Amino acid sequence: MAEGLDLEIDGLDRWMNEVLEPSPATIDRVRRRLPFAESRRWRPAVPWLAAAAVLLLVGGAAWLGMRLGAPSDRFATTVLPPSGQTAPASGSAYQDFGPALGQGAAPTAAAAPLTSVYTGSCSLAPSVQLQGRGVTATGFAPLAATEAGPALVNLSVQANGGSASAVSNDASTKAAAVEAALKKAGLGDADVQRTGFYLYSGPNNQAFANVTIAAHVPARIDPSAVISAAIAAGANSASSAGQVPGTDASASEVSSAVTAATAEAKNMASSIAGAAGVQINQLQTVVAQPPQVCYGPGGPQRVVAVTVSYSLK
Amino acid sequence: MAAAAASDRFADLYRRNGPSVLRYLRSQALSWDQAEDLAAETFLRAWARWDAYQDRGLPELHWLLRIARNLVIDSARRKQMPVAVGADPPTTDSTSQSVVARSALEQALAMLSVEAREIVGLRAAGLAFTEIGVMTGRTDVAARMAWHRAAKRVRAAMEERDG
Repeated sequence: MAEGLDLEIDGLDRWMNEVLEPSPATIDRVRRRLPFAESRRWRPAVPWLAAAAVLLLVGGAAWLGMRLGAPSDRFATTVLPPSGQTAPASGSAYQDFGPALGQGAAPTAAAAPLTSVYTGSCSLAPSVQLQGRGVTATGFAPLAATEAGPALVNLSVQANGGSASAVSNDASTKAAAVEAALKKAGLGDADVQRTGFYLYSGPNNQAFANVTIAAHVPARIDPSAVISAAIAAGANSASSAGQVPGTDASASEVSSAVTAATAEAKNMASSIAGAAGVQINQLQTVVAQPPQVCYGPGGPQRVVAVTVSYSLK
Repeated sequence: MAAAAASDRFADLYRRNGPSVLRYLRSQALSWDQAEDLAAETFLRAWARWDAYQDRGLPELHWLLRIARNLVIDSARRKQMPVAVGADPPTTDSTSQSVVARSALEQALAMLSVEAREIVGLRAAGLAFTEIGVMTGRTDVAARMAWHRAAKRVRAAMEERDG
């Protein structure tokens, strides 16, 4: 009896953590809003040497990719070009253009060659856990994409290194310039919202201000152009989830996707159990998540997730 | 130099505890955008109080979760959101991310009492039932049973919704 309860609690524990787990992109997005975000970044003494090293790495990776054949479509890597060039209209990206806090120079688009892009992510790969008494597997299946909706671009403007009032004024001025640039890029008044203003006094009397701005970019406007305009106007960081697919999947589309995800989950559970020298037995639980957006190599994608648990024999 | 060292220590603190704080906040019936905002604010407040914290010797995650909890309460007050048992589920707004983020999970969590949600959040943050008991004034067995009831209720609500 107590053993059954322990098993149930273990299963609930895993399930709860799985549904609440933040993605690496989310963790990084929060980190970059904090004043210590840049403190541990490696800073090469010779910038051109760093650029050469990056080119070498990218070239090497490309060469290796060609040698090994076509990359997996689940984990393909997308690299956004620097500001000023055309970026994909969709896809999950995080761009950090800001200088280290307290290091002076204002950010500009031209001084922002580094771009980090999240690949795959969002648990698009099926997952499976095998434990003593059972096996739990999660399968995913995509829903057909419908008409694209607006893209949400989150921006932040930061200032620090002075008195609270000076830092506050500095951040407000920068934020106003960014908002003006967004509207000049074609966004309406209602599309630009200041979502937060944070002012803190940290150790050693350092004041720090962080202003967050949310921009809803209509489908007719390229989000990368909006981001470039904001960065040029002084935004320290920008993140875009790309254009989110519409949300009007029919019941039959959802049903088909759930069936496919369930089959994938069962297949994974069976495969892992077989590899471990046991077999799946009775179905214990089936949990279907409602449609959600994940960020795959082709940009945002709507998927359904189904988690199944089997006992073992 | 001292400021840089403090900043480095604090970056490590975020690396160790950021995901736990985010899981806790996501469990508090917030939209995931709000959870991100409050996570950032949690660490900013912690940063501002870093010197005072170091003198107290409290486990760092407990300290961060207390700050996060106070922010959740403040946030609910500002919005005049009911936070008692049976509160209405949050309404859906028009932004694309919110539409996505306000899932059945969020609504299921909103049905829990504040106390039950707190226990779910502390567990999601990675605390042992013994620690949860200490933080919520229960025995570890009572904390475990309260969490079990709440987690089952959340999962049942999501399964019911999914048909």
